[in-house]
Amino acid sequence: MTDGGGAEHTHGAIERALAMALAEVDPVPDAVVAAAKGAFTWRTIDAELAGLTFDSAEEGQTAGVRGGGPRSLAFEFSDVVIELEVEDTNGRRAINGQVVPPEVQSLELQQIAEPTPTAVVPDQLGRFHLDDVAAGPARLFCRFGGAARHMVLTEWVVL
Amino acid sequence: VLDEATIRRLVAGAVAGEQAAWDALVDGFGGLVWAVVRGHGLYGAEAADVSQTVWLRFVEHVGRLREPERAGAWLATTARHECLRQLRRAGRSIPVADVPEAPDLQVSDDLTKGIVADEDRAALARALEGVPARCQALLRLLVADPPLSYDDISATLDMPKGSIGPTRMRCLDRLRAVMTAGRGITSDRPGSRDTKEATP
Repeated sequence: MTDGGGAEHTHGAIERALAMALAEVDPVPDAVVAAAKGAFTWRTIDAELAGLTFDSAEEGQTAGVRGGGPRSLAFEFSDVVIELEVEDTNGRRAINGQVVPPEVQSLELQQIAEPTPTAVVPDQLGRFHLDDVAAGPARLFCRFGGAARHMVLTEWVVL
Repeated sequence: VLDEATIRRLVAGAVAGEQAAWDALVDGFGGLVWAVVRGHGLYGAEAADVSQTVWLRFVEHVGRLREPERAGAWLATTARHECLRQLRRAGRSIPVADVPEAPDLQVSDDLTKGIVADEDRAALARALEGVPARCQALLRLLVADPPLSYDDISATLDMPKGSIGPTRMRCLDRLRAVMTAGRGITSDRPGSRDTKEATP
């Protein structure tokens, strides 16, 4: 056996041991598996998906300035834009948002941590405010008025 | 481990609304998502939220996958993005640095020969916490079940494909060195089973 083959043999053995070790010591928690399976109940097939197009957290603008300034998020689908500013207030979240176009028939915040969605009432310009929102995965559900009456859901984000 | 035909069938089932198909996908790929999340140093509620968000996003995208058989790669990449977002949001550093060579590492004979006793596995898992973050992320992906291809690991970790092999070697050497150092410490404790280190 060459030295290279021996090293490969050794590394393979360590990896196999590591795989077994992690499976024993750090398995996927049951609650995480259950939550992942439960995620399927959030399946919706009749709403359009507004993709996350901007996240100040992802741009790195907030890196190193923890707690300074709200986090900005933007979601877009076609001509619909939903913008959020999320502030961290003692572990809870305060949200200032705006939906464009503002002809919103109903708007609600859906959260994994809350069994019932939170109804939101935007003003004439589509602006809205939410206080004391739980941290964790959340999305907005928008139903528009007018002839199209289409429904838009934002992608999930961890607030 | 799910083969490609099975993955395609399960994805199609999930798109059709079959909870059982979805559950099988979670059982098949839950460990892979968890490996990415843990590899980025996330624990507790943060790890649970990130994992959950990845699966919620998968619910939205499962009907739009261009290559359903590559669902694992999609999940790993999405998990990576969610981890980075979480780390940046929390103002924490992101492991991007290269792993330098460490030629002077002391490695025990047993580990050099690739012998890892059952009872040493817990120590091995602990030793993983002692290697650079970049190594933890790579090693967890390399031993994840189901395994990812080097192409997918490259995309998931933003690591050039050509450097995965050499980095893997360096990371495993570092892991062995941490194990060796750990043995030196435990051999001083009463009741240690490691007689090799204790006797000159």
